[in-house]
Amino acid sequence: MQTEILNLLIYSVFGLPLILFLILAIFKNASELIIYRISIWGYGIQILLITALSIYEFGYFNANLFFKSLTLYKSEDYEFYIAFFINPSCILFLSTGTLLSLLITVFSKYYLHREQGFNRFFTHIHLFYLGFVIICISGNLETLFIGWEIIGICSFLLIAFYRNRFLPVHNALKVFTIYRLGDIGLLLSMWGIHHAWHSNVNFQNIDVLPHNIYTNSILVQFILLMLLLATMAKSALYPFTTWLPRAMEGPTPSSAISYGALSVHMGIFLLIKTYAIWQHSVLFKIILCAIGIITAVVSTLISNTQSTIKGRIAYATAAQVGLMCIELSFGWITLTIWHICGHAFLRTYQLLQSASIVSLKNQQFKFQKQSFQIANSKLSAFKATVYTLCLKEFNMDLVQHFYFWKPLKSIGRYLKINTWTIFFIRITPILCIGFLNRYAPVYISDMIKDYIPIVLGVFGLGLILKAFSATTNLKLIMTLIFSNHVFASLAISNNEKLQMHELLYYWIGIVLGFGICMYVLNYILQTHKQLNITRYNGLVYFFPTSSLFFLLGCLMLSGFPICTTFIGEDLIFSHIKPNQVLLVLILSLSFILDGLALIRIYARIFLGPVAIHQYLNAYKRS
Amino acid sequence: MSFDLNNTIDCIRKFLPHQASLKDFIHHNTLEAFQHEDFFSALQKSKYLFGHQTHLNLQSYQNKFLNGGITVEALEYAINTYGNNCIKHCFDSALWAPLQKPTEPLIGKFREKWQSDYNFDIEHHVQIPLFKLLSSYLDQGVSITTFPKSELGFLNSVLKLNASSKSKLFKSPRIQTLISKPFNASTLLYILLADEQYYQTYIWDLLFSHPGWSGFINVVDHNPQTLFNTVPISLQDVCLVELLLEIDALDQHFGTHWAPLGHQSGCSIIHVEQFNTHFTADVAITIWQNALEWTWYDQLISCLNKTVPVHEPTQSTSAQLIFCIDDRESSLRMHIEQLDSTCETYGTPGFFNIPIYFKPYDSIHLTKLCPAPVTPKHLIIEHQNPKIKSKSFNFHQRPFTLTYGWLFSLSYGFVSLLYLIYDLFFPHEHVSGSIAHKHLSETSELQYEFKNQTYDAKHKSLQLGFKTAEMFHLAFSFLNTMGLKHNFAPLVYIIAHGASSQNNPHYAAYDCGACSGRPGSVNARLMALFLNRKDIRNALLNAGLVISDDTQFIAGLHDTTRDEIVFYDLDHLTPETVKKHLKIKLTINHALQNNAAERSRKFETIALQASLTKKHQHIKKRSVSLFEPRPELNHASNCYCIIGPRKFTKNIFLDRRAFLNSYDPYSDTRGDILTQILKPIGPVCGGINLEYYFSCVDNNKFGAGSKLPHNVVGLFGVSNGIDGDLRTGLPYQMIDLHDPLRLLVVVYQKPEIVSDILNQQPEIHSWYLNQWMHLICIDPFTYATYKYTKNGFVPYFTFTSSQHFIKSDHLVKYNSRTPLPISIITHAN
Repeated sequence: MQTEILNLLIYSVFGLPLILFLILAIFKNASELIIYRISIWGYGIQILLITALSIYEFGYFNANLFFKSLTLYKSEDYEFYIAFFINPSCILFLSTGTLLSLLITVFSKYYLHREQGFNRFFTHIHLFYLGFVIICISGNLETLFIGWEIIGICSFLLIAFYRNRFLPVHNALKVFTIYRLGDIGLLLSMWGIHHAWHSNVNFQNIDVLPHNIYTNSILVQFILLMLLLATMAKSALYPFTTWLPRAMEGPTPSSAISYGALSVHMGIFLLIKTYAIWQHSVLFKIILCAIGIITAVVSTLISNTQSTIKGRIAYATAAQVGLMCIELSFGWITLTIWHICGHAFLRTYQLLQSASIVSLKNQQFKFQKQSFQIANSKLSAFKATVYTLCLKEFNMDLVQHFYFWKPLKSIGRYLKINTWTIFFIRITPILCIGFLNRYAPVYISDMIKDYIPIVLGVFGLGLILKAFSATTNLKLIMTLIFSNHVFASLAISNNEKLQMHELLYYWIGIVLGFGICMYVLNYILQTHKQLNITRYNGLVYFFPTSSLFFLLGCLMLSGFPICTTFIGEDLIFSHIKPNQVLLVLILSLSFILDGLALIRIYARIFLGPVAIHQYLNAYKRS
Repeated sequence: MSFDLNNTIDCIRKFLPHQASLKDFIHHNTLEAFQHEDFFSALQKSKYLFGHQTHLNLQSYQNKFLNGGITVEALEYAINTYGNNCIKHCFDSALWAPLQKPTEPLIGKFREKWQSDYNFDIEHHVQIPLFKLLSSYLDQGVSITTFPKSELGFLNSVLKLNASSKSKLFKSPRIQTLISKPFNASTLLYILLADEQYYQTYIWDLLFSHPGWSGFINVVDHNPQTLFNTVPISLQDVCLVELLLEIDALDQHFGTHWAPLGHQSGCSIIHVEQFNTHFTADVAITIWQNALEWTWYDQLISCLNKTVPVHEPTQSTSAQLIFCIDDRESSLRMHIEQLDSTCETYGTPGFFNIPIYFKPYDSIHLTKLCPAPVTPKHLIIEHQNPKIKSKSFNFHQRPFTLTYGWLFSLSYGFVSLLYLIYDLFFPHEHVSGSIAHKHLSETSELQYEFKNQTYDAKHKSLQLGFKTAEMFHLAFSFLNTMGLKHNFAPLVYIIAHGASSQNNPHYAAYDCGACSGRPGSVNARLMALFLNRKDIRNALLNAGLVISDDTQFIAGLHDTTRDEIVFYDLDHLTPETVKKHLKIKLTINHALQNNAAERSRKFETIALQASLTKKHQHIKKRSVSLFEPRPELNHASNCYCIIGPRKFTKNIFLDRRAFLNSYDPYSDTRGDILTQILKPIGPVCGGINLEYYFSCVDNNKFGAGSKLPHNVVGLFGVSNGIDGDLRTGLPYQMIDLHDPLRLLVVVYQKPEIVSDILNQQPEIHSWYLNQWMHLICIDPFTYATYKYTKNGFVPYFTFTSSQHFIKSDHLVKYNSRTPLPISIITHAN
């Protein structure tokens, strides 16, 4: 009986924000007051539910609570299910987030009054909250991943809230790019965990996993590395810190809740949830601690030189997240979770009243003290160096740009797949080899056979790289992305026997998404024949509905958890053997780029300044 | 011809936005650069040169016409005044044309080639570091570690930092060798362009690729006092640094061998002459805009023509209240007069004829309290009783980075949750808020008598206090301009105004425009002190102004956001005056409540049916709420300025649209006083009106966009996000209830006298001649109305057929939030 109530409770905690989001998404034209009332009631009830949950949690069980919900896919060695897991730290973080969401709702009711996109803002905030709840109460990594992805896409939408300006869209893309790295980190660690323990790991049985494999297992090191990558990307640790201040493009309350309070702590929370996996690895702890120290020191230095208030708060936030890493590396879980909560409240309040600084400081009438002067001494040279580095944010952006994105783009540009003929000529032979080897496996020696999946994967990667950097012929670009999936699934089916229904899971979303995207594209191209995606076009101004559908199509195509492709992606990965690290890296890179290429196309077509009507735009750099 | 950076920049300067630091937010005509031209030609010019949207689009006008926002009569009138021999249907095709496609602006075309021909977003690579350098260099107190500034300016500071730092600001070796010896703009431009004919064009494009920053630097260059901590900087330096950064970025991206931009084909060149050519006004826009304006103007004129001037009350006046001409005071004046017919009100610019610098007791900086173009010669120092020490402690503006951040997250973080809840549900006054009455404490003393002391400000020496003769002159012309020369009531109030807001970087835009964006309390208090002095009164008596000994002057400050008034120096009053004062105060408080009720009509978050006290409470809450982007609506919907005796406007409901300046036309037969009044009307009222106009028609480029994502830069500006250009103009939240109408100035005086003034004063004349404001003249004897046109004054006949009336007891009860027509107030009896 008691467990039944409890299950119901957990379902409602998760279901309520979903309903809230759906209501607002469906009733787009509701008045401000109705939107506000619905939201405030939603969060009010949510708080009651969470109170009830915590009473149960602390009063009756006083321990961890786990239950398995819906099974989405099952085969003899693999099961994909939704699970919930609750322990005191989850409850604490959940309460913090809910309380803040409630307060942000109250704040935004007045703050966003008469703003265009009032409904859009609240819809995004509720979706964001839904993702947050899922992460908090998730019982396994698969469930957590759903929330993780939701938060990623919500962040993109909230940063690009002012979607007809250049910088918000540009920075939203930037943040999404980093998030995508985190997503793949998480996906790969799921793949590794699946192979390492040959069972379905969840947060309940994670503690009792056999630890003997810790000894020298490359796979486990890989898992930990990927977990770390996910954390670093999502929590803006060094060297990814630069995205955090640039995420402050949306309305202040959304910046406060996402980048001051919840989103930025998500990586740390992931580490808390997966504590059992890494708690025995000394090396991991040392690396974590080192990254924490670097982040804390570097961010503090940069924060002190920031001359904009939001930039200063953003880097100060990153410094605290760095400290949290250090705390975690010492295993102080409880301290960390309290630190997260207190910090979330502090930063939210700070960001919300950040604009007061003008009147406050101007009332104080103080001369600003010069912190240092340049003289001909070693010390001043050192200070000047540090100061310059801080101004340049320790070249974090530059390094990422020059050593990661620029090479990828140049490879893409180098590949000449610019017309349909070339495209078909290039892909047909490889496709033939793939299909032949899969369905008529003759005359090929085993040595070569092993490399066929890799060749196919590399070819797919090439296509996606082209799509990532191409700027002409939109339909061809979409087809390139689509065919990348053909190559990916062909590579896997050449690697291990794939069941037909597994492929079906994978392909439903791909085909559906591709269909939607192509349809919308056709529709848009009818009226805008000269669509040029070397720049932003801002067509959302004229086609809001098409824009929404195109986004949905892109999300399906990139394996966002709104359709089965998401499970399919997991399944496909589970068919890569643990010793095929190269293949897994190639495939995951093409998944990263696939999502990025799609969102980039979406942004170029629909977001940004309205290209054909410059009176509607602000200055490009404002 | 050789290229000269200074010349080019001097040509560009006047076209840049002229917005000073946030603390000195002064309204001005956004298109100041074109002010010597005809209004509608200027609109076209700005549109074609810079790509601004300078008027509502045709569709909005058409919709307004269909919704009744533009009347048929007004449209006919506009057509008739436009073309004298054209028939109406000639215009039909133009007026009802579909939405036009915009043309590409002249500025920025050349620069786009980096993107189109090189596929390189140069602005992204250059402006992020440039803005960071600039904002750190100019920072007034956001950052903890500050830029190592040198006295030699921006360029030298940057080079010095670069030289002593191991990590170079400029990575390219070419730049490092270049900057090791003297260089000039031509050297850099040669590398970038290779062809001298493009240099000038490139500098234009460069500076206009970030108009916010260019404009602000131009302002700081000319007026360093706009920053508390003055910093030497010039546009030339910024140009050079930006060019260096551009070459550096290109070198990093392409290596040292890239073709200069001048080698690309199809470059267009900007010629300075293009900025001086005349653009023809758009017919449709001219007619529509005029039609929209005359729809509103004619309402007022027909009301003014129909009302009988209120005769002087038979009973003696109990109080005279002198307010600022500000449109926000017009409704308060009406409410006071409606409540107590023995009260008279006057309007005069809110610095009350005392131009001064003011030094608050806790400050080392001087603040200017007079209209922006005036440079004061006097300084007033505030002395505070030491017992009062303001609590200026606010935890939340501390950075909280490393150790403090850790300690405070774990402790104070949870307290801040409680703070947040308290702030959200019980808004209350904060230390960080900008509160009008904090500008001048009621208990502080002003040192205003001259005691042979001067004060050495940075570049000039200021006289400390006023000599008696100066006081007399100021006081005399103050009273004389308003026409308040006899029949002084026992109590004469001089009421300045200021505004209160919380969490609002644009707070200064809400204060008194005649006091350079600050509350006028010091000026009001000084004038009251002057006029209460025996020696001044004697001097006034000799000049013919009889002020009886019973008359007391009381200074006050009206908080336009909260609708509260504080009074100064009440302890000097005699007991009888105190009694009288308390009676008047009661009326004033009642009027304030009514005023709050009238204002609350426009706020959707306040119910129309709520009681008066409730409405006033809501209004007060707005001023201290963290989450309120519209503490008040400021000058939104202003469109009239009436210069004349109050008796003509007393019975008209103006819906807070009018600047009201008191003036006695009967005694000013030569127009000397009118000249004095008309002089500041252009820069102050016209400036306010036109800034609202332009921020409203193009909120994206002229205005600051939505306030919600704003980020404070160095305490002097706002930007979007951390990499954005500075935003100038008014944010969306200030103009969303404004109709873009030019100002109609109504003067009560004979047209001949006004004509004479216009002919003698070209700087006043140009405002009306070029139609940046409209001028109507009403003869105070015959009540005949004349309209100013290019051919002088012509008789004007109203065309509005229906007259609107509003019952006096309805002035506090409203049932609609839409703009109300200008109506005649009728009394119930």
